[in-house]
Amino acid sequence: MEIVRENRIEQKKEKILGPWQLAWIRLKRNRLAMVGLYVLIFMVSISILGPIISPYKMETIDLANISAPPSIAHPLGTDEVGRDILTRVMYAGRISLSVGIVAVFISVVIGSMIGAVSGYYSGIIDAIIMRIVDIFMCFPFLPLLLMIAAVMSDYKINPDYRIYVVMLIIGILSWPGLARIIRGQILSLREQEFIQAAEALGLRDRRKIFRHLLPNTFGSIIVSSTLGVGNAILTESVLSFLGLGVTPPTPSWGNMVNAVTDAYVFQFHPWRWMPPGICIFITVMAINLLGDGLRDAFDSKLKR
Amino acid sequence: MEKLLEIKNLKTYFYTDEGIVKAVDDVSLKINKGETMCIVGESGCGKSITAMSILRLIPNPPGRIEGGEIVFEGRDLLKLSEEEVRSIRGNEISMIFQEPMTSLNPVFTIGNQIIEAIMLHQNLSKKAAVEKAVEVLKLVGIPRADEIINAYPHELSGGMRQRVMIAMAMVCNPKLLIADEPTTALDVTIQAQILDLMRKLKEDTKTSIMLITHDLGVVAEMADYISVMYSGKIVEEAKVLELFKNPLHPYTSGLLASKPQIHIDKEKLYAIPGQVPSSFDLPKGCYFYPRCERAMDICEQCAPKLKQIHDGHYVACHLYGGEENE
Amino acid sequence: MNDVILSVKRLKKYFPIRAGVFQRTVGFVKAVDDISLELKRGETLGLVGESGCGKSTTGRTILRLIEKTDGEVFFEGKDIYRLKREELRRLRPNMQIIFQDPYSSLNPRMTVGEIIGEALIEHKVADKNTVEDKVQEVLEMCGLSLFHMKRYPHEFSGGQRQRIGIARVLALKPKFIVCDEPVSALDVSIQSQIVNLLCELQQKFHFSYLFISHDLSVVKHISHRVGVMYLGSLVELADKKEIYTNPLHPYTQALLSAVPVADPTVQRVRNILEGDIPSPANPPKGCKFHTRCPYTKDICRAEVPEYKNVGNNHFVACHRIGR
Repeated sequence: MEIVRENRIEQKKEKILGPWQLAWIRLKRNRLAMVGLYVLIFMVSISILGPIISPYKMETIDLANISAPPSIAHPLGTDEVGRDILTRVMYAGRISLSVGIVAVFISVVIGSMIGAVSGYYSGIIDAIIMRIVDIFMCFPFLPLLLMIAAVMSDYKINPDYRIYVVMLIIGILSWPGLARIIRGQILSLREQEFIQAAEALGLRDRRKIFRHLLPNTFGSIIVSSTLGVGNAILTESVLSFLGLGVTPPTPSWGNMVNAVTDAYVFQFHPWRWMPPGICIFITVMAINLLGDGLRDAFDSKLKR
Repeated sequence: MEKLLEIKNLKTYFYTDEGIVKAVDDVSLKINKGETMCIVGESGCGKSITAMSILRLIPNPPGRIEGGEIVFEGRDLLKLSEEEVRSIRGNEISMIFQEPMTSLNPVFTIGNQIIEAIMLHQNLSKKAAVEKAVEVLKLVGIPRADEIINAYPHELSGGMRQRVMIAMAMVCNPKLLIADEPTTALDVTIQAQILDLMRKLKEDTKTSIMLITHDLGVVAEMADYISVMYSGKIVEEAKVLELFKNPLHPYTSGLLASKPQIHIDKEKLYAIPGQVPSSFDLPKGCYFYPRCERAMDICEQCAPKLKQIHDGHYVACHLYGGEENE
Repeated sequence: MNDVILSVKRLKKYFPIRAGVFQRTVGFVKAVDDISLELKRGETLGLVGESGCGKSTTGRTILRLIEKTDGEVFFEGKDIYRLKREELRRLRPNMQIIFQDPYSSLNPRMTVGEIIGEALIEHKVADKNTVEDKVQEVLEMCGLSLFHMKRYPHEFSGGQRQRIGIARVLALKPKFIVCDEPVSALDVSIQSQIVNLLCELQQKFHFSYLFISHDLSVVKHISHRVGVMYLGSLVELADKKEIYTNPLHPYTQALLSAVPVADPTVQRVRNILEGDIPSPANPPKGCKFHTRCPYTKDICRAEVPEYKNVGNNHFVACHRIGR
């Protein structure tokens, strides 16, 4: 009789809220983060859909309209060889966003694996890994890229492949920061009783790391990778701006902004460099707002 | 006996994202001069919030005192200005907390903190304040008081820190000492020392004590008068002997029966079924109804009122005359 | 019925204290200092003591959740410190632990069903198809319902979480369970539910418990024998009845008299101990209790008293006894 009554009361709240749903509910309450999310979704979808809808291809040359200001035919004008800027900005969005996402994916996979192993086994393994991390962290990032870019140009590497190289380099050079964060979290999680319980239950190491430790760091992995995407986009822009990353004719926001180096273009053809610049700014801003929101959403743990 | 403090229909609510929490819901109680009044209840029943409401220490937002009166020696504390309340805090009413480490500032010496309290509330010179500080430390049984006065909180053990807290609370001879779970973080042998000290101080200084605890053993040893709280409401109050001998509310009797006793052997412990209700999802009617073994139909419908059953014994339960409920 | 399931011999666990730039070891915290005890099948041994006396460390060192410094732990005749990692892992289901904190002892990212079921799959007690039935069975035994299975720990109150922790242990059908302050974090009205549950399960499955607690009333209710610890050492161990009616060690006597009794009519002679518990990093020489003992003599300051049987399986370490 008692139990029946108790169950009736409990069954009232039928909805099961997992940790993800809880974080989502908290995120939804954060206006700025939601603005960031919507802007990001907008940027991603026009980057994907835009080039498909657009009547021009990214390499279509309109000789009748070279360096034309915005018009009905070309809403954002054309560049020095008559290519439609809007189409190229949208196409560049694909490149820049995918460079950001793939680079971060690489760094998350390497970083969380190494961080987890380092934090879990501690001792000598941890010491060795952390020294490697230190070495990576004091790598001179830019000179190294300059070198690689120079080598790539020397060997006449197809510009299409250069994108992948850029992804790989940004990814490989940015994992140590994440590895540090994950290791720190694993170290503090290891002191929690549920990890001791997992040990007492006789679970294998693999299971302890992948089912118990890593999932509890998902929050910070997501936060730091979101912010990482923003950083990777910026890095890619800088490299491409300097002509070391993605090179024309493949457009990226960075190499499109490169047009600004021409004083005449800077002064009289703002439609050639402003749209990609604004895209970089808006996208990175949106990512950072979302990242901050995610941090708050995951930070308050699972206590209500 | 003369009344020192009287709380009438106090309501303290917390406004959270998940909804309103009625942490203290229409609570009335009184403390007589020279008496120890205990509030007993489980975590989240509102006993600490009641105490913090008295000193107006409720963080706002999210908390707010929504109604009622707290009359202390003829003045309603809820109507006083912030300035006036501050002069009462620590001077006429002082408070000690469960965790002595977090209530002491780690970067100042013990002496500094006590002397600051003395100089704030009493017009004494620095030198006189130091003497007074040593004196109160001796009073609470701290050995080598003149050395300890220069120690930092982390150099002392938990029991010692709680003694220092009591010394700080007692230094201005308050009329009321509010002790919020003062011994919960301490070991049994240290708890015995602290309880003994509080009893002694009460006899020497005639200070009234409002003791908040979940431990019925502590209550039995310390209290003159007891209020039992459940989910923000007082369900029963009576003198100590009366309450332990003749508990009326099913929750009170359940609590007493479920505690294993060191001097009695029991075959099996009684256990109150179910869980403590969440403050967001309180049952309609009597809050204890879902766990009550003697529940009746009426209990599900309307909340019982606190009423006097016999001399000084109040209970809020439909088992004891449910006629005048509206 | 009377066979010994667990035998601990002169177990020691010292934690090094490191200091300085080079993290040199400057001393040891003797958390467990020469403890010997035995536990029979179906028996509950209560272990009481104040905070910092090493009772939790004792429990964990016995299970080899932390490595010992010295001594032996025999579980069903096998010295668990001689087992290889994989052998130990296979033995784990037989010896389990219930934790104090029902909040940190459950993984917040797993559902109740997964929490209880995962060890069953890992040890091949059940496979993916049968695990649900097994989980359901233990949930019911622990007073939880089937619909709790898909929920996450944060949706439960402390008492229910403790039940989940017990269900997780129960599912493996262990022989020996360390209960590390299982009710200390719970509300009074919930404590008795959990104590009763533990008692019921013991009757049903003949578990052996090492019940660690600072609450002497709870220990008295649940235990058959009780050991009292002070600063890493056992000072007294005897049958429950014996220790509560005829405590020999002055520390046990003081501990018992300090417990508040929830009955205002009981008038007791208190014997309140002076002073504080010394730091385990720097325990007093001789008898560790001599700084607080009302009967201290010269010999107590000089010599460590022997822990011996004074008859009736009543062990005590005190110079006053049996001289």
